[in-house]
Amino acid sequence: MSELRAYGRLMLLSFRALFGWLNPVIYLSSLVIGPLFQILFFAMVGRYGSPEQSTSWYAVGNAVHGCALTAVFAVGAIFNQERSAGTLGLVLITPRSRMLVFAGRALVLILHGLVTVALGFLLGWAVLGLDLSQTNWPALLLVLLLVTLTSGALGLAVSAFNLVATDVNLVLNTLVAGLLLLAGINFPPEMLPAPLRLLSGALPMTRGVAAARLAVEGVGLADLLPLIQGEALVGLSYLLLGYLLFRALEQQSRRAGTLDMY
Amino acid sequence: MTGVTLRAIWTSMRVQWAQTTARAMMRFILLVSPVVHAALGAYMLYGRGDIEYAVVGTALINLWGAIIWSSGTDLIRERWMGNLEYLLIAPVSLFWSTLGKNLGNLLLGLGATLISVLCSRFLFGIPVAVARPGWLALALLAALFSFLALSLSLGSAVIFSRQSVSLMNGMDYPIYLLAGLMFPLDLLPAWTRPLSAALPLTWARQALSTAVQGGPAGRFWAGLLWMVALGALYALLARWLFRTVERKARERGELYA
Repeated sequence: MSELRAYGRLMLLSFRALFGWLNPVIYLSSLVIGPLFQILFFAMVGRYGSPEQSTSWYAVGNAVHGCALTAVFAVGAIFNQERSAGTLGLVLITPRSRMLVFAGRALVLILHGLVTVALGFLLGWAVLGLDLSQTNWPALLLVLLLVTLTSGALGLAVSAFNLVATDVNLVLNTLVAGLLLLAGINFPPEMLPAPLRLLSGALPMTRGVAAARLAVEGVGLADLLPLIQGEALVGLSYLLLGYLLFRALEQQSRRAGTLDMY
Repeated sequence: MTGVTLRAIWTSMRVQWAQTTARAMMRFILLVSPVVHAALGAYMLYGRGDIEYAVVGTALINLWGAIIWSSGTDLIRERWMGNLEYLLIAPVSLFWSTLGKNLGNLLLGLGATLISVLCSRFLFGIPVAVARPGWLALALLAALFSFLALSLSLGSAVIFSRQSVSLMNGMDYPIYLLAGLMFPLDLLPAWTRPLSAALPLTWARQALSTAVQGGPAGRFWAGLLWMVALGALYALLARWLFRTVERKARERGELYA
């Protein structure tokens, strides 16, 4: 039990350290205010650019994208943080499963993504008039949980490259911005040219955002199933890719002795 | 300002270029972000048929992003590298060496702005033609001056508190929103107007878009004068903040409150 408590404390502390916040003000500015203002900003842009589209459409899209900062970026940066702290080698030689250590830290971040999404919906409802009266709540909660998990799977896949690359921040930032552009957050993916539409379909969140909008309109779980299955399939693919990459790149860095020497 | 100060500003600017272009985050801001924002402007706004928000606004997002993401944290990085103490006791004041850094960021930001405009024009087919080139040059100069002054004020704040860096992380969208960079300010509640008016970005968007699209001279000059006035105000504030930081650091013998 004490081991479990220590493990929980480790997860909590590493989560706090990841964003450098040790008081609520910093936490709010980094993880709450930024995503919330993103919702307000794009809702206004949408209201001006496409008055025929409801503001709720943008509110839901950007609320869901709010999980990307933690679920994609922070998960993807976990190993980088270990290296900065000089503990990456120690993590990799631990007798416990490295994937388990990693998953424990990632899970807290992924679940935090869900909190950000919930706050986004709250803001949409309170400020932007997001109508939640018809919402199919079980379906919406399932979809939101799924999207944060699939986004985390993408972060996991990228994080493996930290074992052989100096800095994956460029990739992580590009992914977060790419999701904003390609996943149907602020305009329908159908507007994109064909190659980018293809890429959009291969990203987590694309089907999840569409499903979340439908769930808010009250569409039943049965009708959402194709989107949910598609989102889950994309997430599982990234999870598998991340696991394989992690194993391969960890072995490579051990064999070559280049973990911190590239 | 002496020759030594000018040389310090120039050297600081060159070092800043080298360091900034080596950082992954800045490569994202300088190369990827302009494409993303130009695309968002094109897909979300071009249907409206105006370029004030689809092109000028998105270009300003990139210019400001490049400045604030670096200028807001430059002094923190100096501290991590163990240089802040040396900069503070150097014969050229911290204000001038930081000015050099921010100038470097500003010029790099202009590169990001250019990429954004080129993407809008050639990748997304928005016809960008400058109606009044002279006005555009004036507005750009005033915008650079006012952004530089504001970034110096914000940058000095990081010495007051270790947590200012995290605060900077949440500052981009609130500023884009209040400056109405991609939509008319009429969409915001009336009580936000004074906040919008205090941001040089609001006036930069107004003056630059009038220069690009053509429009009433009054609209252009109002934007220009507001930028100059706010720039002067923020420059004075920055000078005072830096002097206060230097004095307090010497009095207390430490660089953080």
